[in-house]
Amino acid sequence: MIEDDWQDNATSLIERILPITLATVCLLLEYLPIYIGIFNNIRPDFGLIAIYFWLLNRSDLFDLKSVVFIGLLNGVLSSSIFGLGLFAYLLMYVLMINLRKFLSGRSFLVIWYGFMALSLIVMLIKWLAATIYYGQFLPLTPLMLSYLQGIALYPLISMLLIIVQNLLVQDDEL
Amino acid sequence: MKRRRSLFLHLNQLKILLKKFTLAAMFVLSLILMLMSKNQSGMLDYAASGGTVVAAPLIRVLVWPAKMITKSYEYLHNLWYIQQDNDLLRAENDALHKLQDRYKALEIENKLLTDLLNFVSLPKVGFISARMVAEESNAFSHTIVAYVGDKIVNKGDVVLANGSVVGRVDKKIHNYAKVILLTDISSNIPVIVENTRIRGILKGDNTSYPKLVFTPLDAEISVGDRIVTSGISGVFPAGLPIGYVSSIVKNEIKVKLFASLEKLEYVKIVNYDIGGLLEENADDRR
Repeated sequence: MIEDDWQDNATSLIERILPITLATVCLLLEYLPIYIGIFNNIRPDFGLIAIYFWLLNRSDLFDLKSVVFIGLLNGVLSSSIFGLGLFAYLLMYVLMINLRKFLSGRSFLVIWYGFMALSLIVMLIKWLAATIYYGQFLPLTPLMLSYLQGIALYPLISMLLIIVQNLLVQDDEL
Repeated sequence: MKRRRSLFLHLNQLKILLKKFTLAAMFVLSLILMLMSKNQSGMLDYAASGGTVVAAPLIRVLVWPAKMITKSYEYLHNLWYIQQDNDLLRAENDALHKLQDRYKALEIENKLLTDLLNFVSLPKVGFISARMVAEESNAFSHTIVAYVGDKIVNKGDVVLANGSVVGRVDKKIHNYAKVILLTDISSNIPVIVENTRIRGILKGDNTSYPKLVFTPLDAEISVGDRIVTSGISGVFPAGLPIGYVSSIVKNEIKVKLFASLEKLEYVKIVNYDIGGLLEENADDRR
Protein backbone atom coordinates (compact mmCIF):
# COMPACT_ATOMS: atom_id res chain seq x y z
CA MET A 1 0.00 0.00 0.00
CA ILE A 2 2.80 2.40 0.98
CA GLU A 3 4.70 1.31 -2.10
CA ASP A 4 1.63 2.07 -4.26
CA ASP A 5 1.30 5.52 -2.71
CA TRP A 6 4.97 6.25 -3.31
CA GLN A 7 4.64 5.10 -6.91
CA ASP A 8 1.53 7.21 -7.41
CA ASN A 9 3.28 10.27 -5.97
CA ALA A 10 6.35 9.73 -8.13
CA THR A 11 4.20 9.26 -11.25
CA SER A 12 2.21 12.36 -10.45
CA LEU A 13 5.41 14.37 -9.91
CA ILE A 14 6.93 13.15 -13.18
CA GLU A 15 3.68 13.92 -14.97
CA ARG A 16 3.70 17.46 -13.58
CA ILE A 17 7.32 18.27 -14.40
CA LEU A 18 7.49 16.39 -17.69
CA PRO A 19 6.21 19.16 -20.02
CA ILE A 20 8.55 21.83 -18.68
CA THR A 21 11.52 19.41 -18.55
CA LEU A 22 10.99 18.29 -22.14
CA ALA A 23 10.46 21.87 -23.29
CA THR A 24 13.79 22.78 -21.61
CA VAL A 25 15.52 19.87 -23.39
CA CYS A 26 13.99 21.03 -26.69
CA LEU A 27 15.32 24.53 -26.08
CA LEU A 28 18.81 23.20 -25.34
CA LEU A 29 18.74 21.23 -28.63
CA GLU A 30 18.92 24.57 -30.40
CA TYR A 31 22.40 25.16 -28.98
CA LEU A 32 24.02 21.81 -29.79
CA PRO A 33 27.27 22.35 -31.69
CA ILE A 34 26.51 19.82 -34.40
CA TYR A 35 26.48 20.13 -38.15
CA ILE A 36 23.61 18.79 -40.22
CA GLY A 37 24.11 19.47 -43.92
CA ILE A 38 20.45 19.93 -44.83
CA PHE A 39 20.01 22.48 -42.02
CA ASN A 40 22.61 24.80 -43.62
CA ASN A 41 23.73 25.71 -40.09
CA ILE A 42 20.41 27.39 -39.28
CA ARG A 43 18.41 25.90 -36.43
CA PRO A 44 14.66 25.63 -36.07
CA ASP A 45 13.03 27.20 -33.02
CA PHE A 46 12.68 24.01 -30.96
CA GLY A 47 11.36 26.02 -28.00
CA LEU A 48 8.42 27.29 -30.06
CA ILE A 49 7.60 23.75 -31.21
CA ALA A 50 7.60 22.49 -27.60
CA ILE A 51 5.46 25.41 -26.37
CA TYR A 52 2.86 24.88 -29.10
CA PHE A 53 2.77 21.14 -28.44
CA TRP A 54 2.37 21.38 -24.67
CA LEU A 55 -0.09 24.28 -24.72
CA LEU A 56 -2.23 22.25 -27.05
CA ASN A 57 -1.98 18.91 -25.30
CA ARG A 58 -1.33 19.61 -21.63
CA SER A 59 -2.38 23.18 -20.93
CA ASP A 60 -3.23 22.08 -17.37
CA LEU A 61 0.47 21.33 -16.73
CA PHE A 62 2.04 23.88 -19.07
CA ASP A 63 0.70 27.31 -18.22
CA LEU A 64 1.86 30.92 -18.34
CA LYS A 65 4.52 30.27 -15.65
CA SER A 66 6.09 27.56 -17.81
CA VAL A 67 6.05 29.79 -20.89
CA VAL A 68 7.72 32.61 -18.95
CA PHE A 69 10.35 30.18 -17.61
CA ILE A 70 11.19 28.88 -21.10
CA GLY A 71 11.21 32.43 -22.45
CA LEU A 72 13.60 33.65 -19.77
CA LEU A 73 15.81 30.59 -20.24
CA ASN A 74 15.95 31.39 -23.92
CA GLY A 75 17.02 34.93 -23.07
CA VAL A 76 19.72 33.69 -20.73
CA LEU A 77 21.14 31.18 -23.23
CA SER A 78 20.85 33.22 -26.38
CA SER A 79 23.30 35.93 -27.41
CA SER A 80 20.48 37.62 -29.22
CA ILE A 81 18.25 40.30 -27.65
CA PHE A 82 17.34 39.46 -24.06
CA GLY A 83 13.56 39.32 -23.78
CA LEU A 84 12.89 38.73 -27.47
CA GLY A 85 12.42 34.99 -26.95
CA LEU A 86 10.08 35.64 -24.02
CA PHE A 87 8.10 38.08 -26.15
CA ALA A 88 7.75 35.53 -28.96
CA TYR A 89 6.72 32.70 -26.62
CA LEU A 90 4.14 34.95 -24.92
CA LEU A 91 2.72 35.72 -28.34
CA MET A 92 2.38 32.00 -29.01
CA TYR A 93 0.69 31.64 -25.60
CA VAL A 94 -1.86 34.37 -26.40
CA LEU A 95 -2.59 32.84 -29.80
CA MET A 96 -2.93 29.38 -28.29
CA ILE A 97 -5.31 30.32 -25.47
CA ASN A 98 -7.60 31.81 -28.10
CA LEU A 99 -7.31 28.98 -30.62
CA ARG A 100 -6.92 25.95 -28.34
CA LYS A 101 -10.63 25.16 -28.40
CA PHE A 102 -10.58 25.14 -32.18
CA LEU A 103 -7.40 23.04 -32.47
CA SER A 104 -7.78 20.47 -29.70
CA GLY A 105 -9.20 17.13 -30.72
CA ARG A 106 -8.63 17.80 -34.40
CA SER A 107 -6.71 15.55 -36.78
CA PHE A 108 -2.92 15.78 -36.80
CA LEU A 109 -2.99 17.53 -40.17
CA VAL A 110 -5.12 20.39 -38.79
CA ILE A 111 -2.81 20.70 -35.78
CA TRP A 112 0.18 20.81 -38.11
CA TYR A 113 -1.46 23.49 -40.26
CA GLY A 114 -2.18 25.35 -37.03
CA PHE A 115 1.51 25.26 -36.14
CA MET A 116 2.44 26.46 -39.63
CA ALA A 117 0.14 29.48 -39.33
CA LEU A 118 0.86 30.40 -35.71
CA SER A 119 4.64 29.96 -35.88
CA LEU A 120 4.72 32.10 -39.05
CA ILE A 121 2.86 34.90 -37.25
CA VAL A 122 5.11 34.62 -34.19
CA MET A 123 8.36 34.53 -36.20
CA LEU A 124 7.39 37.47 -38.38
CA ILE A 125 6.49 39.59 -35.34
CA LYS A 126 9.75 38.50 -33.69
CA TRP A 127 11.63 39.47 -36.85
CA LEU A 128 9.86 42.85 -36.88
CA ALA A 129 10.76 43.46 -33.22
CA ALA A 130 14.42 42.57 -33.92
CA THR A 131 14.42 44.81 -36.99
CA ILE A 132 13.16 47.75 -34.90
CA TYR A 133 15.71 46.93 -32.18
CA TYR A 134 18.70 46.90 -34.55
CA GLY A 135 17.33 49.71 -36.71
CA GLN A 136 17.92 47.73 -39.89
CA PHE A 137 16.14 45.00 -41.81
CA LEU A 138 17.35 41.59 -40.80
CA PRO A 139 17.70 39.10 -43.67
CA LEU A 140 14.55 37.06 -44.14
CA THR A 141 16.25 33.99 -45.65
CA PRO A 142 17.58 32.50 -42.37
CA LEU A 143 14.24 33.21 -40.73
CA MET A 144 12.33 31.41 -43.46
CA LEU A 145 14.82 28.52 -43.39
CA SER A 146 14.36 28.22 -39.64
CA TYR A 147 10.57 28.39 -40.08
CA LEU A 148 10.53 25.68 -42.76
CA GLN A 149 12.78 23.45 -40.67
CA GLY A 150 10.46 23.90 -37.70
CA ILE A 151 7.46 22.88 -39.81
CA ALA A 152 9.29 19.88 -41.26
CA LEU A 153 10.43 18.74 -37.81
CA TYR A 154 7.12 19.33 -36.01
CA PRO A 155 5.71 15.83 -36.70
CA LEU A 156 8.95 14.18 -35.54
CA ILE A 157 9.32 16.30 -32.39
CA SER A 158 5.67 15.90 -31.42
CA MET A 159 5.91 12.15 -31.99
CA LEU A 160 9.01 11.95 -29.77
CA LEU A 161 7.31 14.02 -27.07
CA ILE A 162 4.27 11.72 -27.14
CA ILE A 163 6.49 8.62 -26.97
CA VAL A 164 8.46 9.97 -23.98
CA GLN A 165 5.28 11.00 -22.22
CA ASN A 166 3.70 7.58 -22.79
CA LEU A 167 6.85 5.78 -21.66
CA LEU A 168 7.15 7.69 -18.40
CA VAL A 169 3.51 8.15 -17.49
CA GLN A 170 1.25 5.18 -18.11
CA ASP A 171 -2.24 4.63 -16.79
CA ASP A 172 -2.51 1.18 -15.22
CA GLU A 173 -5.61 -0.76 -16.16
CA LEU A 174 -7.66 -1.70 -13.14
CA MET B 1 -27.91 31.30 -1.91
CA LYS B 2 -28.17 33.94 -4.59
CA ARG B 3 -25.68 36.19 -2.83
CA ARG B 4 -23.08 33.41 -2.55
CA ARG B 5 -23.47 32.60 -6.22
CA SER B 6 -22.94 36.19 -7.18
CA LEU B 7 -19.84 36.37 -4.94
CA PHE B 8 -18.47 33.26 -6.61
CA LEU B 9 -18.97 34.83 -10.01
CA HIS B 10 -17.14 37.93 -8.87
CA LEU B 11 -14.22 35.88 -7.66
CA ASN B 12 -14.09 34.06 -10.96
CA GLN B 13 -14.07 37.32 -12.86
CA LEU B 14 -11.36 38.59 -10.57
CA LYS B 15 -9.29 35.50 -11.34
CA ILE B 16 -9.68 36.02 -15.08
CA LEU B 17 -8.77 39.68 -14.68
CA LEU B 18 -5.71 38.76 -12.65
CA LYS B 19 -4.64 36.28 -15.32
CA LYS B 20 -5.00 38.92 -18.01
CA PHE B 21 -3.09 41.40 -15.91
CA THR B 22 -0.26 38.89 -15.31
CA LEU B 23 -0.05 38.21 -19.05
CA ALA B 24 0.10 41.93 -19.82
CA ALA B 25 2.74 42.36 -17.10
CA MET B 26 4.84 39.61 -18.69
CA PHE B 27 4.66 41.35 -22.06
CA VAL B 28 5.76 44.57 -20.40
CA LEU B 29 8.59 42.64 -18.68
CA SER B 30 9.78 41.26 -22.03
CA LEU B 31 9.84 44.79 -23.49
CA ILE B 32 11.71 46.13 -20.44
CA LEU B 33 14.25 43.31 -20.81
CA MET B 34 14.73 44.21 -24.47
CA LEU B 35 15.34 47.85 -23.54
CA MET B 36 17.79 46.78 -20.83
CA SER B 37 19.53 44.57 -23.38
CA LYS B 38 19.89 47.59 -25.68
CA ASN B 39 21.58 49.49 -22.84
CA GLN B 40 23.85 46.49 -22.15
CA SER B 41 22.70 46.09 -18.58
CA GLY B 42 25.21 44.44 -16.24
CA MET B 43 22.41 42.59 -14.49
CA LEU B 44 21.40 40.85 -17.72
CA ASP B 45 25.04 40.03 -18.42
CA TYR B 46 25.25 38.44 -14.99
CA ALA B 47 22.08 36.39 -15.62
CA ALA B 48 23.33 35.31 -19.06
CA SER B 49 26.67 34.29 -17.52
CA GLY B 50 24.92 32.14 -14.92
CA GLY B 51 22.74 30.58 -17.59
CA THR B 52 25.75 29.68 -19.73
CA VAL B 53 27.55 28.08 -16.79
CA VAL B 54 24.51 25.94 -15.95
CA ALA B 55 23.51 25.08 -19.51
CA ALA B 56 26.95 24.28 -20.96
CA PRO B 57 27.38 20.94 -19.11
CA LEU B 58 23.78 19.96 -19.99
CA ILE B 59 24.44 20.71 -23.64
CA ARG B 60 27.62 18.62 -23.47
CA VAL B 61 25.51 15.68 -22.27
CA LEU B 62 23.02 16.13 -25.12
CA VAL B 63 25.78 16.47 -27.72
CA TRP B 64 26.89 12.86 -27.44
CA PRO B 65 23.74 11.13 -28.78
CA ALA B 66 23.11 13.96 -31.25
CA LYS B 67 26.63 13.63 -32.65
CA MET B 68 26.22 9.86 -33.04
CA ILE B 69 23.14 10.40 -35.19
CA THR B 70 24.64 13.16 -37.31
CA LYS B 71 27.95 11.31 -37.80
CA SER B 72 26.08 8.19 -38.98
CA TYR B 73 24.06 10.30 -41.41
CA GLU B 74 27.19 12.04 -42.64
CA TYR B 75 29.01 8.72 -43.12
CA LEU B 76 26.19 7.27 -45.22
CA HIS B 77 25.83 10.52 -47.16
CA ASN B 78 29.57 10.63 -47.92
CA LEU B 79 29.57 7.07 -49.22
CA TRP B 80 27.50 8.24 -52.21
CA TYR B 81 30.17 10.71 -53.28
CA ILE B 82 33.30 8.73 -52.44
CA GLN B 83 34.41 8.18 -56.07
CA GLN B 84 33.77 11.78 -57.05
CA ASP B 85 35.60 13.07 -53.95
CA ASN B 86 38.53 10.78 -54.67
CA ASP B 87 38.98 12.15 -58.20
CA LEU B 88 38.78 15.73 -56.92
CA LEU B 89 41.31 15.05 -54.17
CA ARG B 90 43.78 13.50 -56.62
CA ALA B 91 43.56 16.57 -58.86
CA GLU B 92 43.92 18.87 -55.85
CA ASN B 93 46.90 16.88 -54.59
CA ASP B 94 48.72 17.31 -57.92
CA ALA B 95 48.07 21.06 -57.85
CA LEU B 96 49.27 21.29 -54.25
CA HIS B 97 52.52 19.47 -55.07
CA LYS B 98 53.27 22.10 -57.71
CA LEU B 99 52.41 24.89 -55.27
CA GLN B 100 54.61 23.31 -52.60
CA ASP B 101 57.66 23.51 -54.86
CA ARG B 102 56.93 27.16 -55.58
CA TYR B 103 56.34 27.86 -51.88
CA LYS B 104 59.71 26.33 -50.91
CA ALA B 105 61.51 28.52 -53.45
CA LEU B 106 59.69 31.61 -52.19
CA GLU B 107 60.48 30.75 -48.59
CA ILE B 108 64.19 30.62 -49.30
CA GLU B 109 64.01 33.87 -51.25
CA ASN B 110 62.05 35.50 -48.42
CA LYS B 111 64.61 34.42 -45.83
CA LEU B 112 67.48 35.82 -47.91
CA LEU B 113 65.71 39.15 -48.42
CA THR B 114 64.69 39.37 -44.72
CA ASP B 115 68.30 38.86 -43.68
CA LEU B 116 69.44 41.50 -46.18
CA LEU B 117 66.94 44.08 -44.84
CA ASN B 118 67.59 43.21 -41.17
CA PHE B 119 63.79 42.96 -40.75
CA VAL B 120 62.42 42.53 -37.20
CA SER B 121 59.75 39.81 -37.14
CA LEU B 122 56.62 40.07 -35.04
CA PRO B 123 56.87 38.41 -31.63
CA LYS B 124 55.30 35.00 -31.20
CA VAL B 125 51.86 35.28 -29.71
CA GLY B 126 50.25 33.28 -26.95
CA PHE B 127 47.28 31.14 -27.81
CA ILE B 128 45.07 28.42 -26.43
CA SER B 129 43.01 25.81 -28.22
CA ALA B 130 39.49 25.35 -26.98
CA ARG B 131 36.67 22.95 -27.71
CA MET B 132 33.31 24.33 -28.72
CA VAL B 133 30.51 23.34 -26.35
CA ALA B 134 27.52 25.30 -27.61
CA GLU B 135 26.52 27.13 -30.72
CA GLU B 136 23.78 29.55 -31.59
CA SER B 137 23.02 30.02 -35.24
CA ASN B 138 19.68 31.44 -36.24
CA ALA B 139 18.08 34.47 -37.81
CA PHE B 140 18.88 36.59 -34.75
CA SER B 141 22.35 35.63 -33.54
CA HIS B 142 25.54 33.76 -34.53
CA THR B 143 27.75 32.92 -31.54
CA ILE B 144 29.61 29.99 -30.03
CA VAL B 145 30.66 29.03 -26.51
CA ALA B 146 34.08 27.40 -26.05
CA TYR B 147 35.46 25.70 -22.95
CA VAL B 148 38.67 27.49 -21.93
CA GLY B 149 39.10 26.25 -18.36
CA ASP B 150 41.20 28.47 -16.12
CA LYS B 151 43.28 29.90 -18.99
CA ILE B 152 43.42 33.65 -19.38
CA VAL B 153 41.13 34.84 -22.13
CA ASN B 154 40.33 38.52 -22.66
CA LYS B 155 37.54 40.37 -24.34
CA GLY B 156 38.54 41.05 -27.93
CA ASP B 157 40.94 38.11 -28.29
CA VAL B 158 41.01 36.85 -31.87
CA VAL B 159 39.43 33.47 -32.54
CA LEU B 160 40.87 31.44 -35.39
CA ALA B 161 39.96 28.15 -37.01
CA ASN B 162 42.22 26.48 -39.58
CA GLY B 163 44.39 29.60 -39.62
CA SER B 164 41.67 32.06 -40.54
CA VAL B 165 39.60 34.44 -38.40
CA VAL B 166 36.15 33.26 -37.30
CA GLY B 167 35.33 35.83 -34.62
CA ARG B 168 36.34 37.54 -31.40
CA VAL B 169 35.86 36.81 -27.72
CA ASP B 170 32.93 38.76 -26.31
CA LYS B 171 33.38 37.74 -22.69
CA LYS B 172 34.74 35.03 -20.43
CA ILE B 173 32.19 33.43 -18.16
CA HIS B 174 33.90 31.26 -15.53
CA ASN B 175 35.43 28.46 -17.63
CA TYR B 176 33.71 29.40 -20.87
CA ALA B 177 34.33 32.01 -23.53
CA LYS B 178 31.49 33.46 -25.54
CA VAL B 179 32.63 34.17 -29.09
CA ILE B 180 30.86 36.49 -31.52
CA LEU B 181 31.25 35.05 -35.01
CA LEU B 182 32.02 37.20 -38.05
CA THR B 183 28.56 36.38 -39.38
CA ASP B 184 26.76 37.86 -36.35
CA ILE B 185 24.86 41.09 -36.92
CA SER B 186 26.89 42.86 -34.21
CA SER B 187 30.24 42.00 -35.82
CA ASN B 188 32.09 44.80 -37.67
CA ILE B 189 35.71 44.13 -38.62
CA PRO B 190 38.01 46.51 -40.50
CA VAL B 191 39.38 44.59 -43.47
CA ILE B 192 41.42 45.13 -46.60
CA VAL B 193 41.30 43.55 -50.05
CA GLU B 194 44.67 41.83 -50.20
CA ASN B 195 45.75 42.56 -53.78
CA THR B 196 44.24 46.04 -54.29
CA ARG B 197 44.69 47.26 -50.66
CA ILE B 198 41.14 48.70 -50.66
CA ARG B 199 39.84 49.16 -47.14
CA GLY B 200 36.36 48.35 -45.91
CA ILE B 201 34.34 46.92 -43.05
CA LEU B 202 33.25 43.30 -42.95
CA LYS B 203 29.77 43.41 -41.46
CA GLY B 204 27.86 40.35 -40.33
CA ASP B 205 24.16 40.15 -41.12
CA ASN B 206 23.21 36.80 -39.57
CA THR B 207 23.62 34.99 -42.89
CA SER B 208 26.55 32.69 -43.76
CA TYR B 209 28.06 35.37 -46.00
CA PRO B 210 29.00 38.65 -44.27
CA LYS B 211 28.95 41.86 -46.33
CA LEU B 212 31.87 44.10 -47.29
CA VAL B 213 30.70 47.67 -46.71
CA PHE B 214 32.16 51.20 -46.66
CA THR B 215 34.35 50.55 -49.69
CA PRO B 216 34.94 53.40 -52.18
CA LEU B 217 32.27 53.55 -54.91
CA ASP B 218 34.88 53.24 -57.69
CA ALA B 219 36.74 50.42 -55.92
CA GLU B 220 37.84 47.64 -58.23
CA ILE B 221 36.84 44.52 -56.38
CA SER B 222 36.21 41.26 -58.16
CA VAL B 223 34.90 37.85 -57.20
CA GLY B 224 37.68 35.70 -55.74
CA ASP B 225 39.66 38.58 -54.16
CA ARG B 226 41.12 37.62 -50.80
CA ILE B 227 39.98 39.59 -47.74
CA VAL B 228 42.32 40.00 -44.75
CA THR B 229 42.20 42.04 -41.55
CA SER B 230 43.47 45.61 -41.90
CA GLY B 231 44.45 46.01 -38.24
CA ILE B 232 42.93 49.49 -38.07
CA SER B 233 40.58 48.97 -35.12
CA GLY B 234 43.37 47.78 -32.84
CA VAL B 235 41.53 44.59 -31.98
CA PHE B 236 42.73 42.48 -34.89
CA PRO B 237 46.33 42.54 -36.13
CA ALA B 238 46.78 43.21 -39.83
CA GLY B 239 47.02 40.48 -42.44
CA LEU B 240 44.98 37.69 -40.88
CA PRO B 241 43.09 35.78 -43.57
CA ILE B 242 39.30 35.99 -43.42
CA GLY B 243 37.79 34.87 -46.74
CA TYR B 244 37.26 35.79 -50.35
CA VAL B 245 34.70 37.78 -52.30
CA SER B 246 32.02 35.31 -53.35
CA SER B 247 29.54 37.57 -55.13
CA ILE B 248 28.95 41.19 -56.12
CA VAL B 249 25.32 42.00 -56.80
CA LYS B 250 24.15 45.62 -57.13
CA ASN B 251 27.09 46.97 -55.09
CA GLU B 252 26.48 44.38 -52.37
CA ILE B 253 29.73 42.51 -51.85
CA LYS B 254 29.38 39.17 -50.10
CA VAL B 255 32.34 37.38 -48.55
CA LYS B 256 32.75 33.63 -48.13
CA LEU B 257 34.78 32.84 -45.04
CA PHE B 258 37.75 30.48 -45.34
CA ALA B 259 36.70 28.64 -42.18
CA SER B 260 33.61 26.44 -42.26
CA LEU B 261 31.65 27.89 -39.35
CA GLU B 262 29.15 25.06 -39.50
CA LYS B 263 31.87 22.48 -38.93
CA LEU B 264 33.74 24.17 -36.08
CA GLU B 265 34.82 21.83 -33.31
CA TYR B 266 37.99 23.37 -31.96
CA VAL B 267 39.09 26.99 -32.11
CA LYS B 268 42.34 28.79 -31.41
CA ILE B 269 42.03 31.83 -29.16
CA VAL B 270 44.97 34.15 -29.75
CA ASN B 271 45.98 37.07 -27.59
CA TYR B 272 47.93 39.58 -29.70
CA ASP B 273 47.91 42.00 -26.77
CA ILE B 274 47.24 44.93 -29.06
CA GLY B 275 44.61 46.26 -26.67
CA GLY B 276 47.28 46.75 -23.98
CA LEU B 277 49.58 48.48 -26.46
CA LEU B 278 46.86 50.92 -27.40
CA GLU B 279 46.12 51.69 -23.75
CA GLU B 280 49.84 52.35 -23.11
CA ASN B 281 49.98 54.72 -26.09
CA ALA B 282 46.93 56.55 -24.81
CA ASP B 283 48.60 56.90 -21.38
CA ASP B 284 51.79 58.28 -22.99
CA ARG B 285 49.79 60.88 -24.91
CA ARG B 286 48.13 62.01 -21.69
